[in-house]
Amino acid sequence: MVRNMKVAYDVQQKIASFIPPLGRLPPWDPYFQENTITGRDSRKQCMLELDKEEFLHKSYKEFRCGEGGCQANFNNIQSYESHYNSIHRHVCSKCKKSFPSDHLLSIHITEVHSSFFLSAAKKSGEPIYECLVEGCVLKFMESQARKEHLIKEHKYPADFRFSTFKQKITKSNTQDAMETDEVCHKVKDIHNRNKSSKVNKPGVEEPNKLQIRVPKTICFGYGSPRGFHRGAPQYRGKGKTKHWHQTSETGKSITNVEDISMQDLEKALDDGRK
Amino acid sequence: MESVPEIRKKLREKLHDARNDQKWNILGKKRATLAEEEVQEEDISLTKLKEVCLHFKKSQSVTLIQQIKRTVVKGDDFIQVFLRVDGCLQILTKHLSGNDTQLQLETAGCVTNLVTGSHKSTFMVLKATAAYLITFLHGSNPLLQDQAAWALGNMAADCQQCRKYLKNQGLEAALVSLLTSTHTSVVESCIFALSSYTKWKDVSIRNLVDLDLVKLISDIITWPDIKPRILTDFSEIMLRLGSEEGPWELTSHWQLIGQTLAKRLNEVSDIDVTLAILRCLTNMVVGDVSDEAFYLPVHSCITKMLHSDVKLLRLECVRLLGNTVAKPNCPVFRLVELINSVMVPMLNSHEEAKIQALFLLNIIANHRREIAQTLVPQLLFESLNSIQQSPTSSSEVLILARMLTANLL
Repeated sequence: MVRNMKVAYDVQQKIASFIPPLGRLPPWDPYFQENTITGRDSRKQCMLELDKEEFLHKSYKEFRCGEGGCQANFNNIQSYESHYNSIHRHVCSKCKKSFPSDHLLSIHITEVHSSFFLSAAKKSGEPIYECLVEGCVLKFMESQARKEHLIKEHKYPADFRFSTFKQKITKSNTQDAMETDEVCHKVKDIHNRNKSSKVNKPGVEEPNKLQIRVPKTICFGYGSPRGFHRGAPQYRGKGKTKHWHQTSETGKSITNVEDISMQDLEKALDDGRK
Repeated sequence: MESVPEIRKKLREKLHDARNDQKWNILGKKRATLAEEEVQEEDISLTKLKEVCLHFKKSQSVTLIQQIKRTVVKGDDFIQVFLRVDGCLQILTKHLSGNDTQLQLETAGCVTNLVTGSHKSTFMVLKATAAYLITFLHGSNPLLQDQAAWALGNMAADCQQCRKYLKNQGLEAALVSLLTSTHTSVVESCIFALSSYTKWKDVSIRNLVDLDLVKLISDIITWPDIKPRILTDFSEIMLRLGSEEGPWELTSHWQLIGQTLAKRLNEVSDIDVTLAILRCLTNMVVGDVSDEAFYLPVHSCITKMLHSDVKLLRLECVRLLGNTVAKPNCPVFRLVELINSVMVPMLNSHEEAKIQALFLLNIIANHRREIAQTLVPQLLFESLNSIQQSPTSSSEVLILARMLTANLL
């Protein structure tokens, strides 16, 4: 009888080896784990070369991006397009700050540049700070609460670069603002002209600490034209290739445009008439 | 003596040849690298890698990142060396979120390889970089989107903890929305990432369906030049979708996917792809995808694959046939056709085929008892008799033949 049972068991096992399970099977079913093509486990894929067609890209003479005063240089179209798509696609038109996605840009515009946003926050008492994760509909009363939500619920790192928005600090408003690197060339605010009482030693020039606030893309007169060009001199404006504030050598001027008052202008005009 | 025009012509030709030679020399140097199909891994030791990592901390060099990227594919030991160097991961994250696009892309590629190791190293890199990668999926740079999706796919393939993290960071919505991208490479990487993400029990497929996943992937399956690897990943997503009964099975998109996959089954020759498609069709056939546009191409393919040398393909064909005949609403004409064209010939084949055919006939006899006798042709009875009377029939075959005879009578 034991032998008969063993024979029956063997028969059953043999039949089972030829007969697969029926019905719907999920991918994690043991049947799929046992019946795979050996040596072809490709759960994770390594990458060795970013661009296999790297050498097929046509090389050009080095050209500058030029978008919004950007100083980046390229020698092929692909890298320029990649740069443009990453840096210049989602740019705030008011403060020229760049964001990696449209969602973050729209949050920035709403929270930093919308005067209605601040007044709504004060009056309504409802949460207005949207979560940064697309698809999450939650809103918060304060940006700090939003940041805590990002860390606790969405498991974002605490130092996530795009998690705070900063507004211009004015007398009436000192809320948090967004920190992102700016694309446009911006000279730091270190104005120190005519405030020092020190006497310069002969032969030693006072270090230039003039503040240039006029962006390089603004031209008074000819200046350098905008747009993509190869940089050859014939494509630039006649006479001066760059305006005075567009060059880096601005230290030789003793006049700060920002400090000129109406009285100075009147005096200059009177001198001219004479 | 040559004339001046002739001399000038010769000089011109020499100059032209010299310029051509120079051009071809330059191209030849470049093509020598391009001709290698696979870029070689960096041949540096663990100690040397540590030095490279220390140098990387000080210098923002694309070359160093490339070197690290190619080295860490060698294994988890190399990944651990990189992660143990204090500050390296932080600097990598800083490059990833910086303004230099070339550095960003190379860093994303490096991250893709760093997460191919053990769970510990993958999770460490995920916590630092995944949020940025998912943010880039919503951006506008297709190269960065492609690389980010690839890296996230590798992370999703790791473990449940990683998938939970990624889900909380908004991976599902990001991947599904990217399926509408006009860049083929981006969509392919998305398909890979979705395939890695959905093949696990801890992931709910319903969230993805609510995001219109079925509709969006139905557009992709109709691409004329879909790569075999992508077809495999696509089939794995469909396998997961078909493993649960749901309202998506009633949509026209589902029907379209089934019909297109059935057609593709006849066009592919790679075993991996064929097996993946067969498996997902076997799940889909349990639902309502069994009209003529689906069934006819599948039937013609099964008839060939039952004689395949690959056992997995034969088993999968039997599964597909079993699911087809076990359906209570399977049309009678289809059952008759399957019996005559597939199962009766299998009874006259080798032992494995006999066992499988008898198994399928037993299913029909059990599930469609009321019409079993009318389905059975005279040919089948003769085959059954000859099997039972043959001295070479094995015990397994005899047992199944007797069961079938009992069911029919």
